[in-house]
Amino acid sequence: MKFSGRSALNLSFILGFFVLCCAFQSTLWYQLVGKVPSPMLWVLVPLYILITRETFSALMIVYFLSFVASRFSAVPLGSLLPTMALLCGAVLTFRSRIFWRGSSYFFLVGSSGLILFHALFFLNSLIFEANSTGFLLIDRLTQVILSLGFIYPIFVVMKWIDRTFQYQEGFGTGDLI
Amino acid sequence: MFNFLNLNFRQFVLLIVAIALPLLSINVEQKKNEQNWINKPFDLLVESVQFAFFSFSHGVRSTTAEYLNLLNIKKDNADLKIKNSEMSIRLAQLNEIKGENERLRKLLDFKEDSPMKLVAAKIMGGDLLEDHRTVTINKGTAHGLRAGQGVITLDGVLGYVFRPQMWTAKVMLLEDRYSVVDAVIQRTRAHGIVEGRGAGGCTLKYVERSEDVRVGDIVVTGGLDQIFPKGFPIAVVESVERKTYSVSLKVDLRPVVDPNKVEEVFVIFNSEGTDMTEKFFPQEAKAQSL
Repeated sequence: MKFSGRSALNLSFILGFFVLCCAFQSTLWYQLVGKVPSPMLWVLVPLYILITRETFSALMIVYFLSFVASRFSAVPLGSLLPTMALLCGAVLTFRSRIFWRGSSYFFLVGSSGLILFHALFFLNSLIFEANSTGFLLIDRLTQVILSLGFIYPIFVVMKWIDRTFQYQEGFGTGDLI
Repeated sequence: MFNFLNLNFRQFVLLIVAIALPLLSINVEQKKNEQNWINKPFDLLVESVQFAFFSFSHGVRSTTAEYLNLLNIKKDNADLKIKNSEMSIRLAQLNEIKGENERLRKLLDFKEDSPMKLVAAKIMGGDLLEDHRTVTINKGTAHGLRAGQGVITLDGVLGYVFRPQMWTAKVMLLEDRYSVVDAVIQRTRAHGIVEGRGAGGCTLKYVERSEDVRVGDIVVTGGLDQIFPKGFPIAVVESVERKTYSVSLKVDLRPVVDPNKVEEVFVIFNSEGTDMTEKFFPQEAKAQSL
């Protein structure tokens, strides 16, 4: 992986945007909407990374972002990282077989990735934790449905960041819109 | 005789009438208080015409005024609507301030009356994942917070600080599945441990099977963990299940504090030796002292 000043800036902006997404979800949404489950913006950013970067750099960035996300939650890193690793594996496998450039591809990966994240997190907790998490069907479903509305805006912002910093390396970059 | 004026008879009569009429009118004017019969039809005519014109002009004026009024009313209505919405907003703001004032007054009274050292904080946000029940408060290590400090409201226990940061701190709520708090059933003094169940409230574990636990019993802090003062309300018993092959009861609880309705909280800095039983359950405290 070639690491230049441009890609460092790119990563910084992605990190900044990711933190904004997490803060929106955990603070702004909580203050404005309250009890209603928030859209999972923070999962969409790693999913974008997974479909636009080389495998190794995508994994490293996603792990780093997962670490940052864990600071916004009580979730232990030991529970979140394995879930994200499985999610990465699934998305990268899918990407290696089916891929096309465009926002519709991100919509497909985003929506299915959100459902997959919930399923993997639940299974992970069920298998490895003594006091496992609940099924929380309504909450999880609400989150996925609400998140669908944010997939395209997230894609546009991420694409803008990549274009602004002329991000060249990786898989699937170019005229995605 | 009439010919020096070169008038014929008809003209002469007209001249006489022309001269006589002013004279007659002088005579009529001299009796101002009397209504002359000759004036009556003319007066009537004048009156009628005047009335007709007056009515017409009045009508026109009224219609115009009404139209102008309508325009004014429309403008006034718009102004009043704006004023009304402004007043509604101000009223809502005042009500909000009033509510906040009352809450803060209660918090202040509670803080002043309490023997514990407390620090007030506001809730900023929730957890990133729906699987966990935590909140973020606006006080952190810079304010002296450290992990393991109890977080309470006026009504009862909310949770405890589990990750203090510089300016904020994460509070684990009672409902979180990682949360554990030492507790006793207020009525029977039966000991147990309150554990979170995620979104579905919490459970009282390790209560001996022989203990008398009823629905509606209040569960309070035991005080052994030194996090919370003794006798502070935690939850209400929702259901009790006696399993055949279990040595302990399965007690489901509903926390007394709804985290979604809490805005201000207290972080307990020092709860050692504090017993809140007398404040929340004065009769029971009296009975215990006897």
